[in-house]
Amino acid sequence: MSNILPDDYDLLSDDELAILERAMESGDKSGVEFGSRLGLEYRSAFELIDELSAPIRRAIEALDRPPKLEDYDELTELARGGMGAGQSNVD
Amino acid sequence: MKRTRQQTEDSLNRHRPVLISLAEALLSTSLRGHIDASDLVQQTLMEAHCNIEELVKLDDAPLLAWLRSALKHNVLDAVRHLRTAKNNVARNVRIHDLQNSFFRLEQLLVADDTSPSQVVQRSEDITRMLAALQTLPYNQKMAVILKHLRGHTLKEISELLDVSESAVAGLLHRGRQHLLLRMQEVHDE
Repeated sequence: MSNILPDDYDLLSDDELAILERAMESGDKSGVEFGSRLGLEYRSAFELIDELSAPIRRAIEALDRPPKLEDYDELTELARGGMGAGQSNVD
Repeated sequence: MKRTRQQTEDSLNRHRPVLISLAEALLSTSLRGHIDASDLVQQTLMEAHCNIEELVKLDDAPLLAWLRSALKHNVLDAVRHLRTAKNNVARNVRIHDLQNSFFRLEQLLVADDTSPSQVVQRSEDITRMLAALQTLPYNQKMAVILKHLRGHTLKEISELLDVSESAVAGLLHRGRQHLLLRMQEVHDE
């Protein structure tokens, strides 16, 4: 495993990191400066950890989804209240 | 090849942080308020010590698989126990989905799109990452677990941890940075 972390890796501000994080999240990396050394290193670290995490994430992703009902499309949560969560569904 | 009792016990201790990370990933944020991942792992390791004569026959990979299986039963038992106590959080947990998650995890760890040596290497890398997670400060660890192991968005993590999205981005960045450094150190030892 190569050392991808330089001494000045912390030079990116939290706001800049949030922009990079959202770009990685959405898959839309246009307009985001990943070409710089720090940007490329950030992306490399993100992708390595994400790749190693993928089997576990895929295994447990169903746990956070609303239940599926036959003959209905996926449920989407409308709101939460004292009695639980209200969900919409479309036949 | 049969290992000594001491070697197996050392191996069990080495797997403790791996199991804690796994349990923390499996328990939702709301469930973690009612079930302690460390307690589940402690119970799992105690069961392993009770079966040590059988476990000395196992190499590291099958030993970890045995521990994952024992952890699965303990997680399911803890959730069932909460449900019988009419706990509102546990009532929303679908036991079937939880069981399936463990089943899928075992399948995904030995996915057949790679060679046996790659499977072993990937499994070791994942294990090293899960162990390194436990060396992170709490908020960094939770941010990485919520983002990469549970697939939450920056916005969702911000709400769950009650910090700004920029702060979460900083936690994630520093968390990944520390993880990679720690994994490198373990790799070089």
